[in-house]
Amino acid sequence: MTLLQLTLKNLSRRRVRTALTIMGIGLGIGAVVALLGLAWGLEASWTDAYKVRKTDLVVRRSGGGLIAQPFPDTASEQVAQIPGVSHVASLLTEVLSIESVPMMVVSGRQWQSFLWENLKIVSGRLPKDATEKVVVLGTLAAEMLEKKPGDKITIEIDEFEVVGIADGGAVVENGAIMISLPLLQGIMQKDKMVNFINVRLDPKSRDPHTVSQVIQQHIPGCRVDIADEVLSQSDGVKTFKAMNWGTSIIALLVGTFGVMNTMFMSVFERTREIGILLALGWKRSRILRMILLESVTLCFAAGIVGIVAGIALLKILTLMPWMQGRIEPQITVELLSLALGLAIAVGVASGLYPALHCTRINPSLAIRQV
Amino acid sequence: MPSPSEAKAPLLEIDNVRREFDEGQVLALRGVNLTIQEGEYVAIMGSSGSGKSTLLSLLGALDTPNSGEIRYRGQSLSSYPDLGQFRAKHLGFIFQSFLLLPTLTALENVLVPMFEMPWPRPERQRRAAELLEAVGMGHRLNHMPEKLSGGERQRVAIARSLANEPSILLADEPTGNLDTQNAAQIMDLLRSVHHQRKNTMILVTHDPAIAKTADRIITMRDGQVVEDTQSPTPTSIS
Repeated sequence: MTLLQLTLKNLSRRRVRTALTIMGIGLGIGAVVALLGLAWGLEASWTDAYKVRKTDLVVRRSGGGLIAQPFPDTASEQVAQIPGVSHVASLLTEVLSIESVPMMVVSGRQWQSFLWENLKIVSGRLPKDATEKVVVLGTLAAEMLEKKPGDKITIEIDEFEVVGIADGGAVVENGAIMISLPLLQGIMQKDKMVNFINVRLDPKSRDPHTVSQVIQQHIPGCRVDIADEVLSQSDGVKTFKAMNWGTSIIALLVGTFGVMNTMFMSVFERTREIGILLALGWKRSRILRMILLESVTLCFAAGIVGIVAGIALLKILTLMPWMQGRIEPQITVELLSLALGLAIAVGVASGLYPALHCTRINPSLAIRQV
Repeated sequence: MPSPSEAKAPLLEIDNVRREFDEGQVLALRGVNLTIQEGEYVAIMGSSGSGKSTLLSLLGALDTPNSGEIRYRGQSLSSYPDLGQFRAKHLGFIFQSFLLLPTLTALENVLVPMFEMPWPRPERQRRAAELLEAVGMGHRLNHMPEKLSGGERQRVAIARSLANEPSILLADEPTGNLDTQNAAQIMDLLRSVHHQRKNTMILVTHDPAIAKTADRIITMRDGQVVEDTQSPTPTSIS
């Protein structure tokens, strides 16, 4: 018999209570997995989009959330003049309600810019020119809107023909409607306005940080992010992540107190038994380890339950219309390790006080308890 | 193994031990002096409140005196850094209400004290099974305590008390929860264990018939030793 076997026997004594405690902290861990999976997924989905576009820097107006405020497109000409910049591509991105889909990214892309290069047409074709009144749908957007080449689509009050379905290589690209920049500027009545400039650097140029500083000096009021860091630097994403962490911490705290309550009830009920162990010569440190092991085992099991629940929740969320095409949740080894690590930390935190209480039990009095 | 100097000293010396409770309002032991030699079979007898159980708690290092000293082979118990380790290595306990752990089988209950010993797991398993066999419980190794009779539970408790080969067995009213027949069998078993293993047996009882099974009877009243006699012919209660 080992200490772990003894622990499992103790936990299996009150199965319903053990199961309910596991469910309680498991939900907390599940919330962590789901919320962080979403936050990390949001970052990764947009970072992937910049990767497939081979964008090195993103220029936008300072402040604002995920979708930045528009600014005059003349800035792109200024950026193109800066040493080290090889290509620029202006972009007006809007999130609009399109037919039955409540939120969809509509991406107005500078015609003949590199922003059209990553689109692999799976059916139909690309627009012939910047003025052709047509759109290309990402594969996911086509699924969500149930459209195919030749169908009509209404954006705001204007009707467009779907001429192609394209695989953009990233979930954000596949979930979007691609249209030439002047057409979207017209629809949105934002003539000559853009909200992002995607920049490619000359491979032989200076490092991106230096170029970004130069751009910021040339264009007052703009902000330049390295493509990998666009989302992590966004105030909106920072708020989203902070809220997710906040919710996760509250869920974990509730779970911690739940486990602590269970452990206290358990050790109070077993005061006499702990007294017996002490009378039989068990070291107080061994009692401490036994109670901590019970608490950690409970939370480890809750961690597994929470991971399964969190993944299931993420799978359900990805089926929601407002999620599709925007965020692909990240279920990574890091996330699962973090979830299990947090579960074990909760186990230690919630078991420590009851365990310390046990080490102070007087065996002589405890064994006389009825 | 005791050192040569330890070997010369008596096994247990109780030197003017006092024990008070409730800030001195209850005086459980009023200066008890006793010497117990290696291998003795001693009964401490007295009515309820006489202080016999308090004395057993002190001898079992489960409690500490307010004044006076208890020495084990010449070394004061107060000088042991870890009384738990002292209990684990030198003492075996048998309680009136058995105090088996309810979630563990008979075998596992006997294994519990062995956690503190440096024996490998197969060795512990073998020892525990042998001890249960020796107390007549070899056929019930994997039974839970709730499936055992009172007499059987006490046999398991006796096996558990022997787990770490203690030099002293402390039995607190070991037959208090048993019927006459089972009580007689348990007392015979204790006598037999004492005979075979030569440990020192200290038995607390309020029952004169049980006390008479011992070689020496110490009678307590109002927290003091009032009589200490050798029993010329220890009797069986069966």
